[in-house]
Amino acid sequence: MSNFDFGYRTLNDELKKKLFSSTKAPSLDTYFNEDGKNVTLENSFPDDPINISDKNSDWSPLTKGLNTKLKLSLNNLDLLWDAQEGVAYTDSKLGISFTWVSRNAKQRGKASIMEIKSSMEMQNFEFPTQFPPFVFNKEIDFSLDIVLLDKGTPNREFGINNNQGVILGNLLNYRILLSGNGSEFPCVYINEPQKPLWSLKLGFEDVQDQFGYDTVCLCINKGNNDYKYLDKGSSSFDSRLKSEIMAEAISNFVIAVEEDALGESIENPPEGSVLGVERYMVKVHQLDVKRKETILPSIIQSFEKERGIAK
Amino acid sequence: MNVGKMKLNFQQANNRFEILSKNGFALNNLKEEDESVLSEKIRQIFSDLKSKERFGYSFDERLSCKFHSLLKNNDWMKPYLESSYDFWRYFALNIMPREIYERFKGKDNEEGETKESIKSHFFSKPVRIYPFDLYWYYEIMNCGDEEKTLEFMNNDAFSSDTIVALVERTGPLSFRKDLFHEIAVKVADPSLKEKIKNKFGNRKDNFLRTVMVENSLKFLIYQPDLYDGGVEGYVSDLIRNVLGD
Repeated sequence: MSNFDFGYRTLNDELKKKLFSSTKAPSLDTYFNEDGKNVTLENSFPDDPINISDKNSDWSPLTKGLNTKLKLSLNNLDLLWDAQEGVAYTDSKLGISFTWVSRNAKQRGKASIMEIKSSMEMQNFEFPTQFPPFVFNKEIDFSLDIVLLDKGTPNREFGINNNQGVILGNLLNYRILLSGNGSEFPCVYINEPQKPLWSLKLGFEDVQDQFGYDTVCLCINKGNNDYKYLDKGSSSFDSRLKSEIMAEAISNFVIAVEEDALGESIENPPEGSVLGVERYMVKVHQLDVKRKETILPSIIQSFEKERGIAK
Repeated sequence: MNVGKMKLNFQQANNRFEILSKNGFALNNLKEEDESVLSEKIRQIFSDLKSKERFGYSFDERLSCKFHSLLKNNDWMKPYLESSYDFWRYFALNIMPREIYERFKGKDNEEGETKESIKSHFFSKPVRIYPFDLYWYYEIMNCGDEEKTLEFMNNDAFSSDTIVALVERTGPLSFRKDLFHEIAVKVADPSLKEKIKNKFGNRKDNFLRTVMVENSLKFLIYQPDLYDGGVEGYVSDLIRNVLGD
């Protein structure tokens, strides 16, 4: 909003700085719900865009959904009503509107509104959202704006927009990237006693097929006795096992794609394709695909480096 | 239905289009049985409607209702697919290519759309992919059930341009179904007929187009939910501004 002259007072950078002065930096909680429990997801807030990751690599916005909670503290909110630099008449009612839009999904959420008080004291706000499974992928944009909830009594000649619902300035924008960078496998849980603990299903017919649940999927078997080592709620949980499974799955995937793509010289594989993701993994884990026997050890080493335990 | 495989990116869709166009858009046997069943159901709906209606808005509104009901009632039709252009490209080129070609090729004695324009209904312009338009037009016009929705769509305030304005010209702000539905409701208000005629003459489609442009500007400044009278009040003011009350 600050780049555009609306012809009335809006939240300018100077006033915004005062609202955020001496406050805790905004923070974002990201999590999903599994079996009635909230499982925390790591995120890179305030990066733009924000990436979300799951240490155990089994989260996907499509199958697990995503819950977020933005925490925000603001100071000096009385200045919004100030006669000299404020954006509203003294007896008007102001609020923060929290909206999201998923442009690729052609959806825009209804605004959730928090009223703000005219006070010098710090005020804390929390804005939660819940996106159920199979609703969104790709990205969602969030926006927090100061809005006029109720008109005030005009006591100045000009410069104030006193129309109910008007957006008087932007406090914060952020974008969450839901599809990630392709470094994780789609993962499903099955319950088949007597079957192996995990398996990798490769269903692509062409390496240029879209990477997704039907082309590449890691199946974790809750029915296997060893599942307790993967169950975060169990006392036997061993994070190394999950990491080893993931390393082996990536290794099998890379080898399968390399074999399938043999002889094809595709310089720029389509974005989001099986080959595109494989190339990404080769790059990230610095794999020498011509020496198959080195692929798995290289991935394990790469994981250890990430966890800070590599030699 | 294996929806995970029902995806075509632009390049794949272009290749598929070239093959189909050499073949007169005939559909060879589909690999997946459930895709064949779906394709056949659409064929039947299309043929039934074709025997009763000429191609045009009336045909599209009826097809939109039947098509939406056919898809929406399936477990596999997850919300994220509704806006996946890869999915709709696949749908257009693998499930109903004959119908799309028939709809837009023109009659034998008149010139149909050019190949480039026909392409847009298959894949090249995402918001113009025919099954995408049919599906989303219903989503916006939805009045609760198929019968009521068709009755609403049947209002003479609407035409093929309504589909273009509501589905294809959503702009960078994306859209809210409730807001667009309310705009459609107000545009169809019979008490406005005279005023619309006075302002726009016989170009009644320009009215909706102007309201949509006005909305794009107003939406930057106002939060419709908080507007005096809520979304309804917001849309009423849009209409008032356009008609100059």
